[in-house]
Amino acid sequence: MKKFLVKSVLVLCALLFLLPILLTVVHSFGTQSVDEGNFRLTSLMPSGFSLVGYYDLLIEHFYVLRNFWNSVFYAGSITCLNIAVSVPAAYAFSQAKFKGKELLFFFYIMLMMMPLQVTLLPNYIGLRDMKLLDTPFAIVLPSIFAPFSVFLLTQYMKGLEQSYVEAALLETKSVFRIMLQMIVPQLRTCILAVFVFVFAEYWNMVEQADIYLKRETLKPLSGLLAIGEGLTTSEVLAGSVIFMIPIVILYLYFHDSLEVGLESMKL
Amino acid sequence: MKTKKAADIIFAVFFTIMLLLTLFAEDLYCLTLPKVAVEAVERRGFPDGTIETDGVVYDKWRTVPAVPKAALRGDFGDMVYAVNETEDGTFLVEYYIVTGEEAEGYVEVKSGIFTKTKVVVGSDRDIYGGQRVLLTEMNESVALHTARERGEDITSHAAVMGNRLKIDILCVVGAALTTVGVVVLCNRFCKGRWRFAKVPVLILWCILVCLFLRATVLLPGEWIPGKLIDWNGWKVNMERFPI
Repeated sequence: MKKFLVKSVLVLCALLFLLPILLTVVHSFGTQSVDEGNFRLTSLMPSGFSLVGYYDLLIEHFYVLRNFWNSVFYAGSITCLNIAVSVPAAYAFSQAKFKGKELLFFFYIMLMMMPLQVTLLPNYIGLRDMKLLDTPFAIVLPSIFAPFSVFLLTQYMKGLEQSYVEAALLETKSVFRIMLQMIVPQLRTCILAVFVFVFAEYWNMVEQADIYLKRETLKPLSGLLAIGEGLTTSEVLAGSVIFMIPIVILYLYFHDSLEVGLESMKL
Repeated sequence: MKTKKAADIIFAVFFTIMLLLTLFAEDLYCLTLPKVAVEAVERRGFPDGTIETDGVVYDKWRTVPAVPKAALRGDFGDMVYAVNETEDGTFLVEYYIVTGEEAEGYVEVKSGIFTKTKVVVGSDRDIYGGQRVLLTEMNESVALHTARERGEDITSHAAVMGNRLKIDILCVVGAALTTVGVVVLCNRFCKGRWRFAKVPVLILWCILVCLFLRATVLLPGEWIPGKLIDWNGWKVNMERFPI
């Protein structure tokens, strides 16, 4: 009986977490009464079924599709470039021996802990001086060097058997060859987990787009939906559902790697 | 493995839809806009009594701005819709005019509108001031709605539109059947080392089908695509079915 009660409470908690998503999905198929101020959290079902939100968003405000592809471009390019930079950096932190390594890693962690708002202004000034504001580089460039993935990969690499690296060093002196042919294959699950984390983080970015970009044509979908300017409630709800789908696809593809990766990182 | 397959399907379907919408959403949007036929306000000759010279009686004419009678709307027949062409599109503007005499299907304009202004003489659905529209020639779709608005006999227009609709339906059914055929062929031949070709071939085929439908299918103007997204809209469209 006690077990049943505990389970019920846990299921209820899980449902509470899912409630906003459920309401978003259900009401995105509602009629336009949502826009007439009739939208209530208590009304689980919309007054009628209609695709009007999707129609208005994707056909009448078709410019939103351009923002969707912006999101795909930003999140995709940032994730790939971030991983390309993070793997060598993590290799250096975990395998290389140099003075001040621990101090540098400590700064990396400090940078990771800082809220985004702290780094927004320095980044803005840097981008302004490089005349990169209001260009896609303003979004992509600072994000490539985000420390989170370096931290995760370093933690994972520290757990690798040192004897493998030492054995490889007997074969070749090329650090890149060791990294690419020996370390990276072992990091596969961790890299996939990092891929999911970084992609999700930059898929959902709002502040950077709002601060660094002025042109609506360059903004990602997340930035547009967060402001919701010129969109009705039903359009924003429909946009939110469309916005969720790529992340769901990503999770379906990589959920195994995500679980294994997190487990092996002891996170 | 089942999850991966589901992810494959969702990925292919979702991104194909987004790609097709990116390519054709503007065209679909234009389908939802009313099409209007316009004619410019021009100076025309109106009879102005007679004049007698050397015992011969001549008709006297005066040249004044005139609008087609078909352009007059409103309860008192004193309003016309003019089109305002801007960078953002073409919009309808209401003009209230003072009319005078009528001759040969044209009505004299005493005040309220300038010459060369384009006024709406027919539309393929109900229109209102401020609405965005597309300019078109006086085609069957426009003629059908205009005749219906004036309470005229619509049989001949409806017959033409009905035939046109049958061609449209044939095009859609043909495209759907050939798509099924392409999917079957893809499943059969895109195997082994050619497996990667399946999704690009299908996406390319979908784009080709959309291009074909865009070039051939002409939805009846009175069918409002914007209303096809819920059941009530279907009912409204069915009631206005031109056959």
